[in-house]
Amino acid sequence: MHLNYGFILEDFPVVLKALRVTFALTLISYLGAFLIACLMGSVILHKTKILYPILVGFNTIVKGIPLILQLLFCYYGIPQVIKAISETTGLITYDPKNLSYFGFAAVAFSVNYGAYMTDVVVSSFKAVDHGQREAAASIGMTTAQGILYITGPQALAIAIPGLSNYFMWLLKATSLASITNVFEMLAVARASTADNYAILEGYIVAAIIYWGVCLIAESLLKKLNQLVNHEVKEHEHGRTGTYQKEAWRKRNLKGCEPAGE
Amino acid sequence: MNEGEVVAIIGPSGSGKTTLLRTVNFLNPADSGAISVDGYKVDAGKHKHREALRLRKKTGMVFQGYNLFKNRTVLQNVTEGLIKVQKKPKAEAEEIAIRLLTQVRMDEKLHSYPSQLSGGQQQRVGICRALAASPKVVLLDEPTSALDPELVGEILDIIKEIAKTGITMLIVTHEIAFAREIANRVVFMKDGVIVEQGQAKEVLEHPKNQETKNFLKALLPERSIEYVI
Repeated sequence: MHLNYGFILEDFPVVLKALRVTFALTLISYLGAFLIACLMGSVILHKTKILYPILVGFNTIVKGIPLILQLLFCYYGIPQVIKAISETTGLITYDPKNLSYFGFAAVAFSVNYGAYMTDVVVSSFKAVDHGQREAAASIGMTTAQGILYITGPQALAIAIPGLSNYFMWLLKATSLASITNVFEMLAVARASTADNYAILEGYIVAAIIYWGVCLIAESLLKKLNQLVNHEVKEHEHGRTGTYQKEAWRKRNLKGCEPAGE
Repeated sequence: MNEGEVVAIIGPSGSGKTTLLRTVNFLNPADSGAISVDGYKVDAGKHKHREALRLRKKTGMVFQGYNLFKNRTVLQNVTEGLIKVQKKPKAEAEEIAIRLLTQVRMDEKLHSYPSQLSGGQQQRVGICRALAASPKVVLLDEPTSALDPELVGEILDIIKEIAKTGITMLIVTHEIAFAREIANRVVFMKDGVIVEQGQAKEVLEHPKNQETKNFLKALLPERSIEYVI
């Protein structure tokens, strides 16, 4: 196999520049998804009469259709919606030459990941001990205060590992937006190889950058998890941790003892 | 209940003692009837959330399972209600909390989290949290049931001390000896109905109702067996 190593090195700074777009798309979509997850989660937890069945149905639809199709729906569909609105109400102007493909992709990612993250939010809130809510009520807190100060932070601490996973997935999934006219990293990597057909080299560059970014993101998220869960579970973990370590050490030592001694 | 009175609710499991206690602060709203605390009356059948909240502010509750806020330190557990609900300045809230926590000898653990404490320590903080906002009534739901036997005494002693300060208390308990010592009035419940009530000594030593007699009789031999084991 022959690879153009020189081009790989040359291509790095070019592709790296598009990392900004990938980050922006990831962060904006993630925030949108988190917001959607919190809203849908609260409806599901409260079992609101009309909204609940609608959202559960919507959730299954979103989860049942491939993400790439949802991206394409937004890519082709949202301009149509904008056009229709501008023609009927005139509230927004429809300019076919100046469409925000970045925004359309962000909508698709937000909705798709929001549907999955709803489950994390719901299960995390259900995992918080019932007594915590009652205790908050017993000192006179309103329902909102109880969620804001007591059950919410505890649910978040439980949710962080799950939410981190979705962040990592989203970071890589944004590469799908390359097919809907968003110049994020993968699209730029492909475009950068247009002159010399070193397509494989371009993809290798993108892969290495994705991998590096994910390594950093994962270690940062791990730190965040430790930081948040430290307060809540420090001792429980500490105790079993030390105990297990101790037992393990003893067993290990026994195993390592030379037979003659 | 009169001001400063200590009422103990006793009775077999599933007789509705805890439920009765929890109707007072609307954790389990009653289907009908009215709850009145410190002259503030709320119709349980058609109460509004806001009314329940106002009533809760006049009560404090100690839970069987402590239910300390897991994401708050000992100090914050006590100050939380003062700051967020009573809107007291932080310094004042901490002063109140430290005074209470010192009384129950928890002043050395101010910055520990609940998971770092023993059951007895957690319940002591739970009592402080219930007392922090100077409630009119303190509701204690089997405050020692979840504790190791050797820790029951210290919590009961603390509750006795608090009772001496003249605060109104409603206690659900299985500790008959404790009830006799602390309560002015004892209420015996069975199957969701108050079967007998009256002066603590009267009810516990000379029960009139057959159900009460059976319950107390059954409880005493059970006790002695426990000690044999």
